[in-house]
Amino acid sequence: MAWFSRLIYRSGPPPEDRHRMRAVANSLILHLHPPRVAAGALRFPRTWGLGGISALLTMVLVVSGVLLMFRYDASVERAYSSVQALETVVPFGSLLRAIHHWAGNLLVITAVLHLVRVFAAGGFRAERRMNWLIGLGLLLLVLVFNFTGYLLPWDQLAFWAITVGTGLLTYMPLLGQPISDFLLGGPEVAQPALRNFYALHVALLPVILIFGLSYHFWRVRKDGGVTLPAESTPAPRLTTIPHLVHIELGVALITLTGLFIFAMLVPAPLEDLANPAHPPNPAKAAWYFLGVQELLLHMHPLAALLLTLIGGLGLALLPLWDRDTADEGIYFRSPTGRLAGAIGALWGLLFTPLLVLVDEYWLDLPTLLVLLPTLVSNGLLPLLLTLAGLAAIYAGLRSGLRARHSEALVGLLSFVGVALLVLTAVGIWLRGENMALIWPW
Amino acid sequence: MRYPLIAGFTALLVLITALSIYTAREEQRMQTAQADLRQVAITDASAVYVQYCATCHGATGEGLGATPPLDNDGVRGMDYDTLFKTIARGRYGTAMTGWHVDEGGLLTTYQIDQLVALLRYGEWPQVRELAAQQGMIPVSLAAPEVANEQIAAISALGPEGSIWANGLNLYAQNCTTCHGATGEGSSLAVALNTPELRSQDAATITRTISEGVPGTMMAAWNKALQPEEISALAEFLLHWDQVEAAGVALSLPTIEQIDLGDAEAVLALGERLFTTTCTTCHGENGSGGIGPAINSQQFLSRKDDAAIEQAIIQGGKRPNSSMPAFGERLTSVEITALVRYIRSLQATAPSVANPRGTQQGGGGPPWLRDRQP
Repeated sequence: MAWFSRLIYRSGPPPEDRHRMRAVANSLILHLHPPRVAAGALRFPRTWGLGGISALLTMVLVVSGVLLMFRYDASVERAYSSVQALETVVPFGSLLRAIHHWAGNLLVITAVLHLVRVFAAGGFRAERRMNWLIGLGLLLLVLVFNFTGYLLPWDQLAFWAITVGTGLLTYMPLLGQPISDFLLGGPEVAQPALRNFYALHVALLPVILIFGLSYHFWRVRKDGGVTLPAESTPAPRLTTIPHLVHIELGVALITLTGLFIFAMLVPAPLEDLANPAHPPNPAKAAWYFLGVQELLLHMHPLAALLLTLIGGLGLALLPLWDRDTADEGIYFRSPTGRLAGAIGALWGLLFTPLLVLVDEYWLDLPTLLVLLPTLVSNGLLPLLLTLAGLAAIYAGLRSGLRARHSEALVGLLSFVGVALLVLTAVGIWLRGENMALIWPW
Repeated sequence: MRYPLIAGFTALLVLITALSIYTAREEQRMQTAQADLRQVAITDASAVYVQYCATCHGATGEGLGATPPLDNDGVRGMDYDTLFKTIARGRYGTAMTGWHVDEGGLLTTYQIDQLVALLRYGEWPQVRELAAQQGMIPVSLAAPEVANEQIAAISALGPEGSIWANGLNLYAQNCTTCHGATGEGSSLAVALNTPELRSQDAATITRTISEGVPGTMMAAWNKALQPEEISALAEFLLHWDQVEAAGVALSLPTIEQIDLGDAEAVLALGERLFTTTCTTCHGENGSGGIGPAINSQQFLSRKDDAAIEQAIIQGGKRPNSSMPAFGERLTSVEITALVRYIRSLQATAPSVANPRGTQQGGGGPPWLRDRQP
């Protein structure tokens, strides 16, 4: 085996087995991690392990996805039967599909929580700007992954969620129609769409993901690791092996166990075969898009998309918007920031349902302002009102709490985040037939 | 710093345990999932069947006129390929067209697979119920009836007469839909009541029936019939001219489509069912017999529709009641029609001195003493 050791070590191998083992482990692990990490970064509540859990879920998704590819057939004629076969005649096929399905959904949640965590710790400023953007891109990639994967079982749920989803896209001016045409390869969801989504899901997106993820990891290390509060005395540093590796291994095993047991208990959903002639009522997009779909019920599509776009742009430009590095690493900046965040969240929790109810039952702007075109009365006006409301929240926090810019931003963004959460919840649970409000029990 | 590792390995232990349990149950889970899937396929196929197939093959797959029946062991024993290809591509020279979308039809591969599942594992009562809800009431007898006088007439023909009678009976039940009631043949099958056929020997005919004719609709009947039944059939076919000369002929029953929105038609159906099913015990026009006099004010004023329906579905609730449960034998549509017909009697029903049936002893009217606990 001498030639093999030469391949790995180039010069002679370490003399003892113990050293050899160490050398291999160290070199692999230390490609990702620095040799030593600050003790503060190792405290679990500092990160909640969210980035690591997301990375682990990505690996689970790659492995389970590759296994699924052995039995899946991306043709309209056979996609559904191949999934049925997976569920009934392939040993562990149902479990495999459930693991892939739930890991994909969980990844959306952990990635968003990771974003929230990094925002709260202020880890998006100065040299971390670039990685914040990469991270946002990766989150978008996760959503596209989920969106493309959603169609593949070719059941009613898949077919109509994608029909609704690509329908949302076409509202986007200029770009919407071409993107939708490219994705679907035709005017409706049919064989070309299934083939396209499959190609994107298993070939193009994974390549982008691997490059993006590698860059994301590399930047984390190069930008100084986890954001920590500045301290007067130099913080103690611990060796990565075993301190960090033990935590990672522990969290990974617990996550895997949780995911696998959940997948064993709750199989992935599979509805009837897709039937383009019979739309379900209500026809809903995938759950993570229901916030936007809910927004569409309240304003002109253009306004809703513009609002989403402004939100995304705001997140992307956050490093330029908030450059105050004084409170870096302190969760929610300061006690004032924490209060602002709580107030923002509370307002979001109160006002969003209230506004949904008001718009659903009392306020009907287009009939009230019958002289104006609907693009103004149902589009521009609600959009401006919403933006004015957000500005008012920001201004109120600034003057009422005497909050600094970065502290007021915490309040503003926690309002927006909670509002989106509420809208999504309304979309998931409170929308029934014809998208009318219902009480779920 | 050991804590996360301990927690992690505990989790791993839990995972290994859970995986072992899952593995142990996997085989059974797959069996159940397959059974469930087959059930779903049969249910879906029933709807497709009623929509596309029932007009020719009959509301319960009993076959109509020249169209072959599907609810028999011959079809159930056919292999997947034959059934799939027959449905997908049709059958040349017959009324059966290609149903697959690729052949200009209306059904997808998936739907045809489901239809094959229905044919092979068939649950025709389910189809019958669905068809009834669409207003297609199957005839109570799919095959022509062979009357006792006819059997007696054939038996009198000679020493082998009883075998021929048996053969005629089997022919009526299994063969008429393709070969015709008088053996005249159809677009699906050759004529049998011919001198050419009678010129063959019994062994040839027996072999044809037993093994079928590849490339035609003629199934191998040795899966469904006993050897002695097949030879009885062959004997009958060889002597059909003599049977016919004795004046014995079969006639096919006909199906009728009922407009369920038409109250008159439903009442007529109810009346037909009542006379064929109920009067044996409940007397002519429901005037009473073994069972109570339904056509009486006492009965009708004390029982509401729900109670009557319940009694038809579940049978008599009194111990030793000889009222059978009809829930399995009649579809919901037929039961509703029956109840409506019974209710319609109330306008003209007489008051009867003693409405009780002979089976119910004394001690006052049963509906007064038989309180629900």
